[in-house]
Amino acid sequence: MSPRFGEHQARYWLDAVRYGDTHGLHLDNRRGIYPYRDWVVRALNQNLPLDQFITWQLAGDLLAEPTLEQKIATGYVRLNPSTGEGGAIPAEFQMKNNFDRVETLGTVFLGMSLTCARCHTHKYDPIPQTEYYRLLAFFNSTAEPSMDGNKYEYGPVAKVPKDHAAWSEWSLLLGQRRSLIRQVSNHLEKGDSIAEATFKKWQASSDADRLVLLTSSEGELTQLKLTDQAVELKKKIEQAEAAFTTTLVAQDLPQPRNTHVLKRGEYDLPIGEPLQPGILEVMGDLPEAAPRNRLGLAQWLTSREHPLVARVLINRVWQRVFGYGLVRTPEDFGLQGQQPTHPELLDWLAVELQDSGWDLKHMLRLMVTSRAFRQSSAWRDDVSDPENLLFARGPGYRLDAEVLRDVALWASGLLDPSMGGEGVKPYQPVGMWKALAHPGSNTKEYVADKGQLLYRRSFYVYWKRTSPHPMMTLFDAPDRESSCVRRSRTNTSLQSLGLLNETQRIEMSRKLAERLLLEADSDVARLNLLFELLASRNPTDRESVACRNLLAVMRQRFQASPNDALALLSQGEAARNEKLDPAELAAWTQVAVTVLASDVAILLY
Amino acid sequence: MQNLDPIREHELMVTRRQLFGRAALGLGTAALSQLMASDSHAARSGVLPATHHAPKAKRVIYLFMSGGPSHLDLWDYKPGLTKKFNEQLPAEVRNGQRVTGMTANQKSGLPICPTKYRFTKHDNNDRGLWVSELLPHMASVAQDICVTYSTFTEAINHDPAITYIQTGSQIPGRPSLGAWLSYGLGSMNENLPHYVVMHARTNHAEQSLFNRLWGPGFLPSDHQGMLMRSQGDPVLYLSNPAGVSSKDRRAQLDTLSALNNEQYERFADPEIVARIRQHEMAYRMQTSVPELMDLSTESKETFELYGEDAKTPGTFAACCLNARRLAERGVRNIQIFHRGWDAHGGLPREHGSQCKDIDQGSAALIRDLKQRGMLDDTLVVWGGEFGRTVYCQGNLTRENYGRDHHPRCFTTWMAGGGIKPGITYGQTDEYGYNIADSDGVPLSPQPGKEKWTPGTMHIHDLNATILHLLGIDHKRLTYRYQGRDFRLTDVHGHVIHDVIA
Repeated sequence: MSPRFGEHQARYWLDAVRYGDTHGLHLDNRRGIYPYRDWVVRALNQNLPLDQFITWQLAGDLLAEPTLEQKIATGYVRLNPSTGEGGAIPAEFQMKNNFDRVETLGTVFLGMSLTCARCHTHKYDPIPQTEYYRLLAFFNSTAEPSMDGNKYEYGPVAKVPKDHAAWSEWSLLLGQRRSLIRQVSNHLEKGDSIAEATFKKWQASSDADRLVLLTSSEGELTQLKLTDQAVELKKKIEQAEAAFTTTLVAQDLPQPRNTHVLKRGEYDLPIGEPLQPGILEVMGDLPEAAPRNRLGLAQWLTSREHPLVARVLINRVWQRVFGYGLVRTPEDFGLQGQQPTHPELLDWLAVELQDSGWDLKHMLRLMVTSRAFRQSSAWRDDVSDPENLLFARGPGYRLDAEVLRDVALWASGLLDPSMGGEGVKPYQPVGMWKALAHPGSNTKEYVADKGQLLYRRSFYVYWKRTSPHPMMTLFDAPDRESSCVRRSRTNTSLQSLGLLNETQRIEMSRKLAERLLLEADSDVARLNLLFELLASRNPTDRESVACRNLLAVMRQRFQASPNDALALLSQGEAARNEKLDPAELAAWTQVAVTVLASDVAILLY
Repeated sequence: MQNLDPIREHELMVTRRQLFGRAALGLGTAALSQLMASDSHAARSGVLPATHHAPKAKRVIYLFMSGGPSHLDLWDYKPGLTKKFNEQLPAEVRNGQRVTGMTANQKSGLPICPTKYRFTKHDNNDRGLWVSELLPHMASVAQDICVTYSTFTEAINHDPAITYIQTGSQIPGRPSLGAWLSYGLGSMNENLPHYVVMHARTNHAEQSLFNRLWGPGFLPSDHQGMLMRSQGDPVLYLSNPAGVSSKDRRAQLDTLSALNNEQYERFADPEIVARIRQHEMAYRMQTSVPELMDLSTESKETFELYGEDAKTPGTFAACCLNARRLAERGVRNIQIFHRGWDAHGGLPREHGSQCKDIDQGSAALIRDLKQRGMLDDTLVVWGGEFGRTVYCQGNLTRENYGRDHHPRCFTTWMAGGGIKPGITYGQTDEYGYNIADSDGVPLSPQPGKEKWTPGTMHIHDLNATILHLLGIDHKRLTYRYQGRDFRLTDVHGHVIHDVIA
């Protein structure tokens, strides 16, 4: 399956867990955690079973001998917005950070707000205030300071390869190291030529240390004649490690902090005895032998008996395929939320998710090959169901901000498919960050990238939480300061301006127009190609007439005003194909902008 | 009036969609074009079919002083402090108030810092209004404003405090005041957005602003405030790209409509109709916004009123003038953010410059609205997220000092839109540290958000009062999210009838 799969699916997860590239509060400085974002993509591409996907994120550090990937995954615990505001009181933010984590956990996994229980026992759902604080206790002992110091790295971090290419290289080197070591181990296990002490030392060493042993120019191992190879490999590994970046991870304090119920949720009003970490009792028991730490919490969430997690997750998968969930309030499975429209189906899907080994790809395949999905989205006269509660029509909705941009990047041939790495900065109107930012912030100047980075998938667009990219927020992307499991889909005049005037939209349309001119040789063929690329079909007669009218008007217009044509064609960095007639290219650019802005291209049907 | 009922709302929505669905398929495109033509209904209505009570104000202009202006140097006159220069703040006055990390451990302790500014008394409709020499123009509108000395909050740091006063919660994620108004009342015009935010220029851009302060929270995102910028396009992406004329755009939109109509006929999705309208509104905005920003039609008298500054885009005075122009054009909700009030040190220099920025523009706005007969139904609000401490932060001299954040009392003012003109509300003790009774004795117990104490105005009370003036019962404008009916004032808030005419 295409690696685009992971990028597309990861987006929904990042909204839910409120991933951002900045701290969010006060200075809103840069934060080093994008390797977590890239891990999510890898995990989804590799189809890591969702129960493990959850466990690694909540408690990867608590697994036996955690791998680097498992440590990176615990970045989940570190995604809360944080502050470094001078004068802030650490004890207050220790609790605010925890509130945020507990409530996000509620939204993401339990499909419910736990916010009410912060101050008092939940009014509608059976969540006593004590249990809220027991749940909070799981998070209250993480080792990072409660304030971020406005630093890129604060608290525990892991050193990790900086992007997907570096990961591939790193995996390759580790593979070489493993095979070298296996070769030696095999030899040693057979061998009688080796002293007992050397063999024991070998067995007790980590792979990294074994490689060091092999590089020694003295001792018994030299007889294997692998020294040069080992030295070479060690050098390569060191070089790779020197280029590592860091990512925030979770780690617990050696001595846990005390957690109390807080009167009305006020950090300075603790009541009663310290609480043990514990789960919400209405949702079953902590599995036997589960430790009272984040790992136990993960075991509870992923246990087969948990009544909500599988339903909540699969409902959101349904939502991303069909546009709406079976429970239309994916953030609220509580008494106040909407009832599922198809309760049996929801149950069946939840069980199938568990039975399949928490296999997301299997579940998606089931959905997109279902009859429900393959139906036409056209209006049905015979069913009075405007909200499509029955799912008697196929899905139809406006595409998300990222997809709107990516479709155009792809159709224009500009898309750079490289994966991973630091967030990228496409064009943005000047001064947007500066108008808001603290003068001491290291994100007050937006400096747009150059070259290929301008054309990376929108998934990688830099996410400054107090001011995300305007073409994202204009089309309902959340700010990622709090959990979002359902984006709104609004319709505004500012979107119209963005679609028709934004620099990159014009640039993409221009490159798309070039493509049409080069790849097809008549107006009809070009229009067909345009619609084929954007809607996977030919234009209808009326669509065709509308586009050709526009084309004729624009052609005439730009032939008469060649300077206007050149002005239009100078938008964006990508080089213009000088062999093409500017008036013709400008006219087609206008057609491409218009079709790209129309419902032909921005709606999913 | 009943509480908003989400089920009822939902049914209304369904009906609307059915109407559209049938219109498309039963009546064909004639019906569609008719729907499109009825643009007079395009001004989007809010979720409230009618206001909860007769509104006193149709619109609000909120002048937000980000960073926390010093009530002690601008409004809250404490002549007795001169004698107490450099004395320690008595413990019983502080009375358990937490102190920020910035002054909690300073060597000088908490030395009392009298203002260096001269105050004069100006007639109003009450016992007179003391105003600092930093605000001469504001002093001249003493008859029109209602000054509250007893605004208070719990938050003591900027980010939580400003998020709190703007969204009702210290933790990000809730809708802003403006988004609530948009959600409840909708928009009054179809050529401009319903909620406009401006950032005024300052020499001291300390402290950050955040999209969340005018953000939609969990409300649909079209309720967010629209930033009107003084740099580049005033509205994002307003201008056509180079080489594209307005006539070209018209041709594009005609094609766009034809393409979208084709989709509509197939899918009968009312959102498609709505989108065609939005494209048309965008086209109109391309004319209406430049017209709005073009101040050349303003008279010489107007510039005399607002000052020369008003000719420079982005100044506070220019923002005030724009605010009046927006109000005239039916924008319901206008907010100007002015940063730079966070004077931890060098307060006289910084506040001096800040006050120069805002003084004439604020007063001019009131005068201007009044002479145009608009002040009666335009609510003007002025204030920050908290006040500043009576004790000094850093070095203290008679001439130079700094002040830390102070949540327990601070000064705000309102004018027009149903507010009693020329009065003051609430008072503070002789230190300007605690809210006090009319004898200057600190209230005991400390006022809190849980229960309203007469003479006080918690930030939830302020927001409840603003909503009330616009015809909204703050307890009944709710939105169900995650099983809870959220509202701007959380579970608090009390309308302060004492300030309402």
